[in-house]
Amino acid sequence: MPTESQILSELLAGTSAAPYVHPERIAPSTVYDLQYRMFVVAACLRVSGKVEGAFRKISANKLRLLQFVAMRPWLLDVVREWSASRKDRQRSLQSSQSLRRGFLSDGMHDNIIDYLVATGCLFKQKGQIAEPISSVILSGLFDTSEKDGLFTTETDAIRELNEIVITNDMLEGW
Amino acid sequence: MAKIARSRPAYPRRSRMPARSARTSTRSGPNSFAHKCIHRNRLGTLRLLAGVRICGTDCTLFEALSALMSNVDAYATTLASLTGNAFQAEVCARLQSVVLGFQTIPSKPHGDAGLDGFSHEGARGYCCYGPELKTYRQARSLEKAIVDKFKSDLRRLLELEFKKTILTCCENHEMATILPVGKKLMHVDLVVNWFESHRVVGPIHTAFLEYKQSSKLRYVDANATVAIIGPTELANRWSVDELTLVRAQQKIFYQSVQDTAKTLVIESPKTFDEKMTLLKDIRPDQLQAINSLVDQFLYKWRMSLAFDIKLNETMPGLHQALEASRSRIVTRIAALMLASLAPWTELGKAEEIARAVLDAEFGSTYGSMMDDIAAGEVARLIGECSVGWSRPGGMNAN
Repeated sequence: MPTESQILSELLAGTSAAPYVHPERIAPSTVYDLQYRMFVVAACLRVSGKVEGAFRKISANKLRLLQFVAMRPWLLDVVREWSASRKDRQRSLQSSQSLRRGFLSDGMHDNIIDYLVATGCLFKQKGQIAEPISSVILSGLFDTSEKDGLFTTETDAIRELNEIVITNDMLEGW
Repeated sequence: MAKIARSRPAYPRRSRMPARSARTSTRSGPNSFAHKCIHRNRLGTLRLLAGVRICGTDCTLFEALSALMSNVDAYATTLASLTGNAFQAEVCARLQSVVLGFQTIPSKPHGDAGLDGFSHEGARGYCCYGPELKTYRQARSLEKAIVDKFKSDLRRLLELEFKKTILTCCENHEMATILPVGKKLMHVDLVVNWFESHRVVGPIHTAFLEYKQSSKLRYVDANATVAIIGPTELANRWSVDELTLVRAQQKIFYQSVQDTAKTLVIESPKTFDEKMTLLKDIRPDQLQAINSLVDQFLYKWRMSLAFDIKLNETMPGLHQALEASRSRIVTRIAALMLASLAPWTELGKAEEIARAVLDAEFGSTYGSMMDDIAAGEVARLIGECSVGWSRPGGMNAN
């Protein structure tokens, strides 16, 4: 049985239609866009981070979950269900397996954090990710986006996540 | 059974303990540091034995057992949600992986004679039944369906049939070419995807005893036994590893991708539509074929998008591999089409190329859906302007 592209090929073969190919037009997924990922980290820090001294800090594990869900806001319901079932270990395991696998294996996030640490935008401090208050790179990115009304879905998702109880048990595996 | 070599001392060194535990564990008794050490060390062995992946660094034995149970439960749940041939295929794959010499019996072209597989040189038989649970509104009708199906299978094994409600002997010719010569079944496992009522047990066992008395017992021993096995029983019978789960969940994953694809709407596939409209203008004699092609492409494009979404949600590593594969697909197709004097012939190979690229990354896990995803990727290339055609002597479709 011919495939769809074979049928298309046969339909076009008998004509003088001119083919063209633009490989550069394939848009990569935003999940792999450095600026976008930097914005999400900035938004997580600004919305959920706590100011301690000269730094704005957030738990590295919490940041991992927040940024993952912020980019996939349809998973908010899964987090809610997981949070509601956290006292029932068995139910908690079953309801959240896919989500855990998702955010725990998000290697791209590790790369982004490593990059931001290497460039001096962030610091790693005993399980915390810290941004100097004086730094303007990430906070500037967030302020600009807020001013122009960009990425509101992501920011709203992080705000909603703040309303959900997320314990250390949930963040550190089981 | 393979032995697990233990090269480390029976108890972990204190320095390996997390500082938090080391500071606080000064008590004796079940919460003491030594007690935790013993448990943690046993936990390591448990992880090895059970293949349980523990993400946390400071798990308790209870937590590990929860994880172990989770594997079994997850497998049982997965089995319970499989139906029909998918359920039978998974049960056979499972039995093949854990029972040495398990033999599946192809149902085509001559039928399986009521037996889906056997092992122990023909001494143990297996029958599967995976009813579509959604179609049964009441448990009673589901129980009846299960009882009827297995009774029918047992009658075939025992070479019996009803003639006007009277049980009479008949011949099951295919059994002679299934079981080894001279071998009789000593035990039959009846594997079903729903076993939450004891009301299927009595009728099946009673019928089996009755059938044995009426049968000539050519292929079943007079002392043969029967047992009904549900998803939980099958999951509990042997340890469940990650590979088993992945294999079973892959079938569920396929279903979830299909379900997601049904809910997806490709927002304004303007470029795709324009190209297809142009194709209709160029080939007005093939309108029906083009319409059918459009439907197929759009369906598979949605499948491809659903696959993308599912991987992105739960397996970012694989999603990254998908993204890289897409880039390779477009590069290869572009290279072939641009270099060829007959570019349309090369376009015909697009799906083949996409399939080969995707197979390298996903073939072993998601092989069954790769044809659809490959076609979806080609549709995406057309829809996102990468590959197209222009009117003879005119401008591009986009």
